[in-house]
Amino acid sequence: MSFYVEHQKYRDFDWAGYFRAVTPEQVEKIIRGDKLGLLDFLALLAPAAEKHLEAMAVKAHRLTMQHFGRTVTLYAPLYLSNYCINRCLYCGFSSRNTLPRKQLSPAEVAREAAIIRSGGIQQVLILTGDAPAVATVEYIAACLQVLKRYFPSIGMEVYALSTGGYSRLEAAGVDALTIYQETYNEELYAGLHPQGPKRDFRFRLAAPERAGEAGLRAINIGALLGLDDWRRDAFFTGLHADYLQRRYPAVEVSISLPRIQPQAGGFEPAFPVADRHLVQYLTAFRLFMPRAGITISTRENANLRDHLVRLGVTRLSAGSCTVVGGYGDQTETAGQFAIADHRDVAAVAAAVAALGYQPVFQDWHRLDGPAGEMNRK
Amino acid sequence: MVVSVNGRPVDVESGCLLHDFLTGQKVDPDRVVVEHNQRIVPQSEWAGIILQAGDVLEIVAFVGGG
Amino acid sequence: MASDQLVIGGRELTCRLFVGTGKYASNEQMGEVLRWSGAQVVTVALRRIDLQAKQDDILRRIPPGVQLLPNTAGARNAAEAVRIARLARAAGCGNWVKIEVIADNKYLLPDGYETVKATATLAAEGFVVLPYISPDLMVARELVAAGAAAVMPLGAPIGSNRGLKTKELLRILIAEIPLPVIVDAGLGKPSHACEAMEMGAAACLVNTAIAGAGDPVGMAGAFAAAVQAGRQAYLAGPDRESELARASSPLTGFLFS
Repeated sequence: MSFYVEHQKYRDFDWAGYFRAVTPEQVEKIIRGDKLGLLDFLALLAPAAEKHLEAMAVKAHRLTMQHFGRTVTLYAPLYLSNYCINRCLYCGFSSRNTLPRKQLSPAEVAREAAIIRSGGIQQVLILTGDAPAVATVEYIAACLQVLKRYFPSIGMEVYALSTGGYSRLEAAGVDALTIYQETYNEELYAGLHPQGPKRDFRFRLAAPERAGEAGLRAINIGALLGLDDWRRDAFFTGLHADYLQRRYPAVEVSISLPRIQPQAGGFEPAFPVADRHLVQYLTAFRLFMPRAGITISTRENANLRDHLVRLGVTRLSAGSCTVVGGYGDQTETAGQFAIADHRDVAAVAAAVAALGYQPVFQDWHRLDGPAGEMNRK
Repeated sequence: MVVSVNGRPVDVESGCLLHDFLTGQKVDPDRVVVEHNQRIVPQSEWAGIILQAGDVLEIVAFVGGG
Repeated sequence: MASDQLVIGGRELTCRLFVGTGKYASNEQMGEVLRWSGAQVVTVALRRIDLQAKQDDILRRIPPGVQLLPNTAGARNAAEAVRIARLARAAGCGNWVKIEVIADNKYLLPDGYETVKATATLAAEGFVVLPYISPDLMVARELVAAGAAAVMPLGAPIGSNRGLKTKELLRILIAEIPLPVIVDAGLGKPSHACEAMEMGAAACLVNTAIAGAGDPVGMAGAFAAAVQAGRQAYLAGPDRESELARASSPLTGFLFS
């Protein structure tokens, strides 16, 4: 059993027909209800639900308040390496792009970690490109040895690994995995990933499950918004999150809503996503999975991020730099994506506090010992 | 000799067959289940079992319950 | 409605009220209750017979075609429950069993851990196992894995007649457990049973509330009607309580300013 089986069930689904049939009464009834089925979630993603955004937002706000209270967790990314053998059309690290390639040494990792930590951040997300022969699993494990001295909780967003790879890094100190399917449209995916290991749609699709098997504590997934019709990718992200939560009840499942902004590769999104659609997706997902975390990164601007907090966001990155070694060396500017919220950590924390929320820097401290069997029922 | 029947000591003649003991007690064979030394004994085997001193019999039947 | 059947152990049931046979003034009265309730599943217990006193055979009072569900009342651990279940099956009334393991005589709450052990053993021996439990999601999941045919969580402590005190936990079991969830114990009034059915329970098992009523036969009919009404309401999909959204747009106004 894998998520691909669930995914395939919607292969010939009549999206347009379903969306057309959604009525305002149906949307209102779903918003008033207390538990959404998958097709209820899909109905809230329909054009017909756009007129009910405020009602969805009120409900999303109430559910988020109920399950998370007035708190938002802050984290920062730490790019370890930008070597990459993929040619993803939308990514600044594509091997097609000419930019200085760099991989941090353990000493450089320590320098970056110290800077991030001094800004107040305690949860870090480490990232690499997709170059398994350069940024090897053992290299990442060595970086974790360094990072454990600075951060109580470490997440990673690296190329898709085998179950053994996830187990190795779990043992080395990683708590959480972030991995985006980018798009759940298999045909479109093939075109967007013309070269490199990432071409394997199904291997990537099953990566979160392998991380669950390996005992990671938290799994964060997402679709890169703008590649395909956002309504479909939003639906599949919800389907995927629900599948993971059912299959691994002990895992903290969450989603991100990364929206493509123009950057170095010059990639223009084929399906630009408007702010109101981002809000529709966010609130619909909150109604569908009231307990799941929702992350918004610094791809979005400060004003929008501040507004989204009350609608259901539970995690924000802050003071981010997407350049390898960029916290210490600010001369290099070629990051993975362009940052739209340039506030430092203190400014983000102050903005969160001004909204009436508590910025949380640490909500978990990893205890040493194997996690292995924990996730399975 | 003495055997235990539903937790109580009962005197029976030595060499007594299980079947004869039960019919002597007017037990309705169709509504009881008999356990002989912790083994459930089907009605068809009752005539083949010779009771020994110290044997433990449990004779149970359905009653009202929730 | 005709096609709305509950299938347990391969048996198709149309009546979702299960009735217990204990605590009645007489077996005659109990028999009347069974007839008026329309129950197709009735629980019985197994006891040592009294060699001195002549006893009325309870089975004579149970209408033909009704599925007997012997319980393991009196068992304090898994081994005793297994032993009672095997004796019950040897009585020749089928292979269904309600596992009931109670080691606490103060509150009469079931022992989930021993219940899971007994369920695994008996399911492997081909029994149709319906375990009586506290509404604990983890225990229920273990029972699914152990091969239970249904789960029977309590609505309130046994015999208490206090209703759906465990409602929030029952809701979770109904949502998460892929087996029939039969609310057992604690239902004191027809309205309690009706509410359990509206929530999506597969059936209700009632004994004390009927046996202890002023008119047990009348109460049996009332419970049968309540269970049926609750089931119909569940199938009809009740409208949801309204949560009024404010007319202004304080949360999404920024999108349009």
